[in-house]
Amino acid sequence: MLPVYRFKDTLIHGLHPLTALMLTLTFAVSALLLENPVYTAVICAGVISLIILADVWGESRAFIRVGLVVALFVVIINPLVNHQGSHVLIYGPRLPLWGPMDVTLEAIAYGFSAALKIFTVIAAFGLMSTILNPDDLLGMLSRFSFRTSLSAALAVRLYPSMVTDAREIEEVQLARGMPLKGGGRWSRAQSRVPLWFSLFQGSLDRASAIAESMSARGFGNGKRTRLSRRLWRPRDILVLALSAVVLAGVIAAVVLGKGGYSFFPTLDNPLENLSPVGLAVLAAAPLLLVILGRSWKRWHWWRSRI
Amino acid sequence: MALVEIEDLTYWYPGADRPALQGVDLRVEEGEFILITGPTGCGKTTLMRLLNGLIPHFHGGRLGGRVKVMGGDTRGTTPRDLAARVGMVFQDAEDQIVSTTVEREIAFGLENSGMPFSIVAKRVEEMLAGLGLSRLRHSFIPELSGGEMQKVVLASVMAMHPEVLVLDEPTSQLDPVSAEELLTLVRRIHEESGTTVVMSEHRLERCYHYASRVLYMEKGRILFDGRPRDAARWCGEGNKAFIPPVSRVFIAAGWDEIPLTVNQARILLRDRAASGEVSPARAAASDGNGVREKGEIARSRGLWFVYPDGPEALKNVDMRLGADDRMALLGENGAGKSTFIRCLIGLLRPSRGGVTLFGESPSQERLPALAPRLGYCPQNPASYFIHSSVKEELLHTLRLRGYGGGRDGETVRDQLSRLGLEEMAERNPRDLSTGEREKVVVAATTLPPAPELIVMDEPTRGLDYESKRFMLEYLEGLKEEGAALLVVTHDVEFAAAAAGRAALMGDGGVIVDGPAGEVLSDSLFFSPQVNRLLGHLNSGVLREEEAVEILKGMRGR
Repeated sequence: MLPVYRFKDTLIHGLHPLTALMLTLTFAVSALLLENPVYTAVICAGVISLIILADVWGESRAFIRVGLVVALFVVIINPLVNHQGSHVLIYGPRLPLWGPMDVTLEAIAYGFSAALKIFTVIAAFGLMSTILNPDDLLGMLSRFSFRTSLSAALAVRLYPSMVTDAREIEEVQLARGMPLKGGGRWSRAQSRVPLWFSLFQGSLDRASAIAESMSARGFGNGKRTRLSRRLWRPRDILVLALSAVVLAGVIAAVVLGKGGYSFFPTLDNPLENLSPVGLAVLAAAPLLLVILGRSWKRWHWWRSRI
Repeated sequence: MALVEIEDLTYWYPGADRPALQGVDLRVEEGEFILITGPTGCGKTTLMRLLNGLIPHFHGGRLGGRVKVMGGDTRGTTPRDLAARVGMVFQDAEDQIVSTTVEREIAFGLENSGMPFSIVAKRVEEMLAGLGLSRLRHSFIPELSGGEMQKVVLASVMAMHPEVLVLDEPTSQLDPVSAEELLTLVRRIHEESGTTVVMSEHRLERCYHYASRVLYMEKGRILFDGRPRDAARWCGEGNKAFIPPVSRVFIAAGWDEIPLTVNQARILLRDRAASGEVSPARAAASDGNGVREKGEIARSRGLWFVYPDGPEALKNVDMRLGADDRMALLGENGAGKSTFIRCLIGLLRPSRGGVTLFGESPSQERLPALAPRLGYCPQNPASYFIHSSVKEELLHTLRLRGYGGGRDGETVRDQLSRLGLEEMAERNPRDLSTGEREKVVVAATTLPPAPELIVMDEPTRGLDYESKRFMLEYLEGLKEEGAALLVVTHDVEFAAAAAGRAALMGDGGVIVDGPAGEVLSDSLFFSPQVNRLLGHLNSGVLREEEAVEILKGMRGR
């Protein structure tokens, strides 16, 4: 099931939506831009520590699972399709139009690095979805495209109802005698087609009812205003500043060629091109947040100040 | 000036060959509480949609005559202006909510009106406090109960400070306690703010006495418009069921004065007894309320069920269902009723303990084999429909039961005719009214030969009195064919009329299980009106016919 936002009494949940958005995007963008796997590992550890700090491990589980599956897929597939590299570990057959199916050390390392990068980005989005109230997020986006943000908000709102509807339809048809559980995958998939039809029709009915209710509350006629009561606190300035420093550092590293790493034809030494300052900044940002979050929880006088 | 004036109105939905409303004239004055009654499909919802301009602005269609709200013709007023004057609450809260959190949902209508931030914030705060929703401010809406969701919808509408509040069967999806809370809230809003209320509702026993005026509609026309007591008398004379049970029994017993509530009825009885006109009498309750012991059809032993990442929904439930039991399962939302029947028929695997159904352990894999002996009517009839016509739905069920053959068409025709659905055979079941949908599901699940056990989950949700009466008669017929009945319901009046045995569930366990006459008596929320009225004379009285006999006896007839 899609993870959903629940308000929790943590420092991370108390961030302004813009701050929370910037923080999670900083981690995701950094993971995408930096090639050196040491940097990626540090960013990944940072994201995981923030997930724990925000107490959203359970809610993020679906994202973590998807991240692990995709990462595993990349680790397995990459050496089979990427044959660059000079250290051949397994000599494979030569296929017509495809070339030699050799498995190289460099391709395996590249697969692991890409998998870690993908996992980190997915985990960062998981963190975002569980600490950012979708209404707040979409409220910010609505300044650019209100209709799109409303559609997205409705999708988030209706997803749990759709899951419940799907379960109900399946159970009712089972009790009616439809053989949905036995047989092979193909026959089970075939027998479920009418259930999708029913779910689709039900969703259309619900969409129509919601549209009527929105119309009854004056939606779609003239300019809207928006209630926004999220407060700016010192912690927002601090986290935004941290995010800005990290992002600026990452961009500078990329521009100065300090964030790169070459896997082919032979693996670079990952420590060779590493910037100790950059690494310290990447590691310090989440660490500082963890310290802040823990102390915020423990000392009440600190809460009101930050 | 009247708040709403409707003159000689006729309306056709797009593509309809019959008008949904014809020749309707209505004036709604400031401060009134109008209750609209009538059978499903009589035009109540259509009439209410006219009041805030959903017709014609949202639904289109052809409109003859005129609708004026606060002096302005709705055709020439923008929906935004109308929404600020006439607020509307629909049946199902789930189908009205747009946002994911309570605070945002309450602000939704205000934001649409373009109100400044300071007013939006003030009104949201006012509604959160006034309607007791403050603790839910940041709650994730899909996780709220039905009653809480409907309160949020009401808050969102009332935040716009409408002159007229229109409610279309707002409690049809709620349990009795939540329904009572919501109706009390509506009454408080009416009395404290002077908001005019126009409401349609099937649970008349809960709100008839709130109304200052009652409309009765049939086939798109208003047939009666007057004071509640006059409406009750008029309905009684015309043998129309759309009045509270307590009024119905006094009319049927031939009393000249008609009470609208249990309290009014008790005062009436006390006054008549004091003047010597009547004397307390006792009448035997019907013998249909006992627990009978016959062959076992289903049983749970030490049944526990825990949802993944959820609470313990069932805790050590022991229950035995006899082959001719007619059992009602009651309890508030979350008591474990639906989970229990899902375990009992094999849809859920018990976490601990065991279940037997027709002598074997049921499971999802075994259900196709058990299905011919089991009729399961779900809470939401739409989840049953996977075909585009009523006839195909019934034929599909027949095929699943393995009764295929040349007589299928005939069997389906007979069954549709038995339930008065002949004219709907070719229609898409999703296009039917709530009551008709329920009938289609019952028709399919009880195709002959009747199943040995019929399990119904909230069969009266959204049903009007006539449809309920029909359902009761039909179930009575199935009893003759030997079908056992297990019905999960919030509808105490229905449970009292349909069941011989009742169980009350709470906190995942069975609180009490026994003859309906015992379980459904002497309770504020789980007793039918006639029991609350006459329970002190005969604790087992549950059915209207029994109450009528007692009342007749008191007058010496």
